[in-house]
Amino acid sequence: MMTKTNGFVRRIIVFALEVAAVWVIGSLLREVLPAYPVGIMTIFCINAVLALSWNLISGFTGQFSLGHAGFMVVGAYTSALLMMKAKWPFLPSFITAGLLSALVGFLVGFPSLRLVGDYLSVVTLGFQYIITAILNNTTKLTGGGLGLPGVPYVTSLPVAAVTLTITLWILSNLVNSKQGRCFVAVKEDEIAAQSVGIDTTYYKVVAFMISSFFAGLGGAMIGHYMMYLHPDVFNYAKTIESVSMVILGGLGSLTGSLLGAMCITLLPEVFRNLATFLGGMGMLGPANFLRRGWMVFYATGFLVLMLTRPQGLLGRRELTWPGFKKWIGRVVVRKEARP
Amino acid sequence: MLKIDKLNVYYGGIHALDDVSVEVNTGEIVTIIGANGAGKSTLLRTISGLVRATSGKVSFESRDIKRMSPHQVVESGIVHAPEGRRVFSELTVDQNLRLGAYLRKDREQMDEDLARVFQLFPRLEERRWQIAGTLSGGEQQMLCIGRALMSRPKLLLLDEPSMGLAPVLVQEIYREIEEIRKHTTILLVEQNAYQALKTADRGYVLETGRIVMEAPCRELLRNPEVKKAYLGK
Repeated sequence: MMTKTNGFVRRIIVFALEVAAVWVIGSLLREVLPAYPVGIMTIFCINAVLALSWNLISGFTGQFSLGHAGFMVVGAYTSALLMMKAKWPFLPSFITAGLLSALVGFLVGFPSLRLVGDYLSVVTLGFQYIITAILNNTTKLTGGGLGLPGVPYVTSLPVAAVTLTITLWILSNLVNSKQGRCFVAVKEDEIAAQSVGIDTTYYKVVAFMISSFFAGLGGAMIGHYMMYLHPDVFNYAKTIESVSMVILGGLGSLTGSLLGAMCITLLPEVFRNLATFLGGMGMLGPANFLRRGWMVFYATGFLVLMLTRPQGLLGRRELTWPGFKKWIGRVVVRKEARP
Repeated sequence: MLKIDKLNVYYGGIHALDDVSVEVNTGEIVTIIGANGAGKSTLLRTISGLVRATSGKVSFESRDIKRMSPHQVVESGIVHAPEGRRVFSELTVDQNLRLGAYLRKDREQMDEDLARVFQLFPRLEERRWQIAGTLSGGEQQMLCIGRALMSRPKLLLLDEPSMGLAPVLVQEIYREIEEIRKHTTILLVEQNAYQALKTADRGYVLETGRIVMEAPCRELLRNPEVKKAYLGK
């Protein structure tokens, strides 16, 4: 029993050190690098939190939610309004944002998670439109369709990176626990899950709430990064962005979500820079084509990937240090074996 | 142990179970035989709470379990090994079995039970770290039964354990069922009437939702009507 407690304490300490290290590295990078790469890294961290949270409900628990942006927007407005109108400090507003999103997740999830598959998707999609409509019509509080300017800037790189680290830590502990196995069991086969005594509705609601919590945090970070909120920022396309990150990386793989978030954050930047570069070389035609038509490459790339690797880049596997070492080992052995 | 009294179940307009009464005593294997669509699986699904009954009584150890949800039924000691080998195909054999013990808190005993399942199905031990979806049909069936045993049920509901298996494997599964009965009461639903009647103590014959016959299996095996309808002789 002693060793068990010590193991737990040690894991907490290691985790605290990791968070501290991420904070220090994040702050350093912000000082050293120009604003452009720092901005991209911050957006990557936000996107990764959003992708991870969607992965929990859909990749692990198998409930295809299309209302993710609805939970983001709840978090975004909660945190922004608490800081602006109630003059709360950042951290409590931020956490309240997550909690309120989780509460909304419960309210949406409790009645609708008895639905299966497509029906659930439709309900969650409907929820997202309802939230947008509410925000557009509560002009006094939220500014409605005029948007909410003057949201305090808080999401610097260290803040986003630490949030991502904490999210990743909590979710990876969760999915590797008994509860995590239950999430996967619910996805795999609900009847079999029930027949071993798992209360499937309970686990779906819990997964939905945790997912909404982190979606709320991600949304709040977006608000505190852009310093401006508008209901239409969190539209259907925002949901699909997170969905495509997860599918690109692999449903049911946490590191896959990170990889997917990285690819989708970087791709537009790659095309943008390529266009600028070509323009600088005097090739105005191709540069203009890239600037306007890069979506074509993006879409084609996605199509090819889905045709050749429908399980996503990583499938259900995770990138881990031991796995990486093994892979390196295999590559080295193969090279040595060659005459 | 299990007492079902005048149970009625409807699927939409279809009367799937019509005044079905079945009783299972501790230590018995009771089998329910019948053709496709007779309502055998429906009966098991009603017991385990996956399907709701319209009227009638289901009591287990003199507790009413008719209104319980599936996970509460499992808590009370009834485990259903569902039809068609529903294993968690993306999890390993080990994880599947551990999920079977989901409701239990006692870790040491759980390892003991894991050992017992592996003793019963040595093949599962060989494949312990393999993804369940890559197992053969027979192995998946063993896993399904093994997973059910992990919760230490008082009553095991087995739904068509021989479905889609090669004859050799059917024999093997039934040998293991003989082994399981030493600790657990079993309610067995089977289309393979000959195997079921050879293994069980008592049998019920279900025809389009009605119980038409109830007798010790030895008698059913000799009954001319049963022979003609279910044994093909």
